[in-house]
Amino acid sequence: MRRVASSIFVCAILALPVPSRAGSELANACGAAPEFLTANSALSQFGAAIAAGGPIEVLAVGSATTVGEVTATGLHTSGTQGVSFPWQMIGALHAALPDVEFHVTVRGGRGLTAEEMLPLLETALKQQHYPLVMWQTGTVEAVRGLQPDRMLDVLHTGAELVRDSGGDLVLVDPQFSRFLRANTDLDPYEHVLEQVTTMPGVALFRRFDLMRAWANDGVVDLERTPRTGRDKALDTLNQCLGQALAQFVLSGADVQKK
Amino acid sequence: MQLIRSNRNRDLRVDFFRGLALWWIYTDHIPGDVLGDYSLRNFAMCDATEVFVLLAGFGAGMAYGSVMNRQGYLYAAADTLRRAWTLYVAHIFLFVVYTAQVAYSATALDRVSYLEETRLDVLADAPYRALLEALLLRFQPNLLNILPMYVALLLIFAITLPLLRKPALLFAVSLTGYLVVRFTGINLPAWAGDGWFFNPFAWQLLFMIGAILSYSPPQMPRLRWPIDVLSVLVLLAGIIVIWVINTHPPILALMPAPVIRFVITEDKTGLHPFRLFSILSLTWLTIRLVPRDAAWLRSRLASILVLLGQNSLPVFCSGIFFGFIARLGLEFDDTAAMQVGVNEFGAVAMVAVAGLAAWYRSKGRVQSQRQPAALPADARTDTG
Repeated sequence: MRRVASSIFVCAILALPVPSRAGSELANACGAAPEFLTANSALSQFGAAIAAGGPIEVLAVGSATTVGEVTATGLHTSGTQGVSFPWQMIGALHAALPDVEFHVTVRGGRGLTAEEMLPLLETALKQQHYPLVMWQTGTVEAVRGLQPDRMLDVLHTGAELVRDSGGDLVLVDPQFSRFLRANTDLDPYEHVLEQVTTMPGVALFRRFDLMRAWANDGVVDLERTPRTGRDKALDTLNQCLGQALAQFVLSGADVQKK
Repeated sequence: MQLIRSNRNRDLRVDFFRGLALWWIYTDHIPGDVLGDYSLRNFAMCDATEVFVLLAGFGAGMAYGSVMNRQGYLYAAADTLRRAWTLYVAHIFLFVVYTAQVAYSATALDRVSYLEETRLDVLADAPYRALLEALLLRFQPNLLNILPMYVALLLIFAITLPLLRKPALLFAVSLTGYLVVRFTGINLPAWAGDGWFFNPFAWQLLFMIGAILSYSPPQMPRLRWPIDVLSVLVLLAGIIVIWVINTHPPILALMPAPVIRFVITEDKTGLHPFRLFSILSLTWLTIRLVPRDAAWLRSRLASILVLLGQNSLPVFCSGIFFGFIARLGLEFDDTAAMQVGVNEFGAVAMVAVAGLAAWYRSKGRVQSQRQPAALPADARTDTG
């Protein structure tokens, strides 16, 4: 059973310090190609909020990889709550723009579909103004083979909610996984995400392709990392993603790193 | 002792492509297997599942249709139900084996993702309920959703068997069911609140087409080239989607709205029309290009796939088990040598299983020839 109610949690923290392990390669978004770091839509609301000097509230909605939640199976696991990629992105934004204060609110939970996340998004938007909203989705839909057109309608509704609330939306696609690639039909869901980005103020962060490039380049590859190195690999991955996302949203906001 | 069954009525093309589909299912399911990049799904808007279901329908039409001809509907329906039961038991056995295999590996290697990906994580949340739901086929872990569909298809087939004699009516009824699914999304319920991963009410159309093709093969039309052209166009459209649009998604935004909608709503669950047209086009072109008595079907190399195809149930079940071992191998050491190793291992292991199953069957045939036949020979023809 998915523990929907208990899996929803909110965590707002003041601008995180730059991750201690962020070396020179992390500052370079772990060698990510420019195509992954450039937003395909202008994020003007976010840009305006930066220009106004902040503080800036960022909302991140997603499933397990966003909230950093892990399965409770009695196995040894180390969750990434508080250090998953949305938090890392905030840290990287702070490093890039030290004068601006960023806060992040993370909502969602393991195994949630876009449809199940929509009410969470709606509630959050009613409570506060978020110039930037991240929405990570698609994995659960692909694993369960849910109707892509239903996901399209849900994402459209969500994107309109974000737009009406005066914010920009960054969609984040599934993370790279050879299992997903082999055993699910990901393409329709990727097309759905792509389709939503035709709306103004909506951009798509291509996490799947970026992580595949990192795997091929030997930067980080969770599926090929043995047990002993996995915690470190997960750390690296979240830091790399945070760096890349920060550069991505800043490119959309048309703000150069100071 | 002859391991490959071959007689005048047997269409070896069916066995060959069934075997090929089983091999694709093995390579497609192994995350990171390079051979998975060269299987059917990389060239057409359908994959081994469509081939498997169409040919399962073909086999069922031939086996139970002939029983119906000689012994009547009741016998044929009873045989169909017995086959459904065999598949159900095989599925439950596979469920237990696969769950033990995945859960043990997840624990030993500290890979929670194995459980999440296969959806076996719910076993930890609600173990007692999960067992019941698995028996009811409402809980289907990933990769274990083909056999439940096959069971449901045989149950539907047991009801529609008499309509085999009126193929046009059977096709009309089946198509109507498919269209109802496409417009309403009606599906069998699953535990998680969604429907089955493979909606049997949609996939029955492909199964019934297979059954009709074997029981009452339609006359080849006099004018064949228009169908040739149409089939090639459908397959070309699929190649454009796979090789161009899927690799460059922004192109989609330049297309007309109906095309966008058609491409992005492509679903496997409800057998999207694009998938249906793709497999039917492939079927047509195969019939046109591969004659029933093609000599190469009896070659040594083709015989390996024919052997797999004639023993599809044990090969399929063991393939799921071997596939997970292969996955562990690639995760341990993803080198060219390991890629060759896991694929050779899978091939040899599945052929060994097929050979063993064929040997047991031929041994049974020899014994039954010495004793009065307890079962009509044809009742055994869908044991693949």
